[in-house]
Amino acid sequence: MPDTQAYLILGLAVTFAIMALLIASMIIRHRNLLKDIELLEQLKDENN
Amino acid sequence: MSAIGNLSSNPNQHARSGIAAWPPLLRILTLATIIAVAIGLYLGLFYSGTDIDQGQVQRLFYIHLSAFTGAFIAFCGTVLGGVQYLRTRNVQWDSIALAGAEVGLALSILNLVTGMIWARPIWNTWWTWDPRLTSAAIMCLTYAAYLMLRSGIENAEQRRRFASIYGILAITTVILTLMITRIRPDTIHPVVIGPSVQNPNAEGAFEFSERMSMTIGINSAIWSTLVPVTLMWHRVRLQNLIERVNALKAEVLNK
Repeated sequence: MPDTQAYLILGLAVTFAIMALLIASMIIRHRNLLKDIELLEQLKDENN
Repeated sequence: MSAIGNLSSNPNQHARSGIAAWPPLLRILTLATIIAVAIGLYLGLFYSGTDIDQGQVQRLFYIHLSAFTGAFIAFCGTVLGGVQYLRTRNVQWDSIALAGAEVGLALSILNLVTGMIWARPIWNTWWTWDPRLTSAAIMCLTYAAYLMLRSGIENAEQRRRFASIYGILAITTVILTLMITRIRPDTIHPVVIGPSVQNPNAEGAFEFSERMSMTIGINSAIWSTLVPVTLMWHRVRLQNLIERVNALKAEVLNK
């Protein structure tokens, strides 16, 4: 049986990295949008 | 459309309490997805058995195939969202289409990269311009272009209409990728499931044991239902926040 364990580990690492990147990008965008909403609500209130 | 309405939530809810503001069904779905993916991974790594010809790297196949099934479902979501948006002009459908493209792209990149890593010890190369690999790369680029072109159109209505039509047409690249090993006899990519005009030079096919079949079935079921649906639901909620920010910006600027 060929020793291909290193490639399996690499594949698993890449899998976690891609999924983590997707989820992290959603979390970061979510946080930034909440900050934007807070700021815009403030500006709206000041304008009123 | 009420079902779609339920996918979204009041954007103000997000601002109040983060995860606590998730609808109960989304919380259950997210937890179920995490547990199911962990179970699928356990089956692939410890239960399925080791392929005698390929060694441990064969286990990547469970992620490789499952990621493609997930991408396929997500891209079908893009088609459904596009068709429904053109019919109804309801923005929620456009959000679903966008979510499908983004989640599908991530899953198809995962499919492509795990395939490359598997190919290195089995085919002795990271990449070859094989018909299946080329069509999969074209599929990824088509959906990457969808996201880039979308963000380049200023007018919201025009952007949504364009994205809907593009998203519907882009599914042809997914169907081509799915079918190409069955219509091109010169591909070296193995046809693992189903009959084909398989090239005798195809390399990397393997015999399925009962445990392997079960692992493939369970992983594919998880990745084609729970994973894309959960990720798309979260992405739709994010899109609702973006719409809310855009509406607020317009309100503030118009005063």
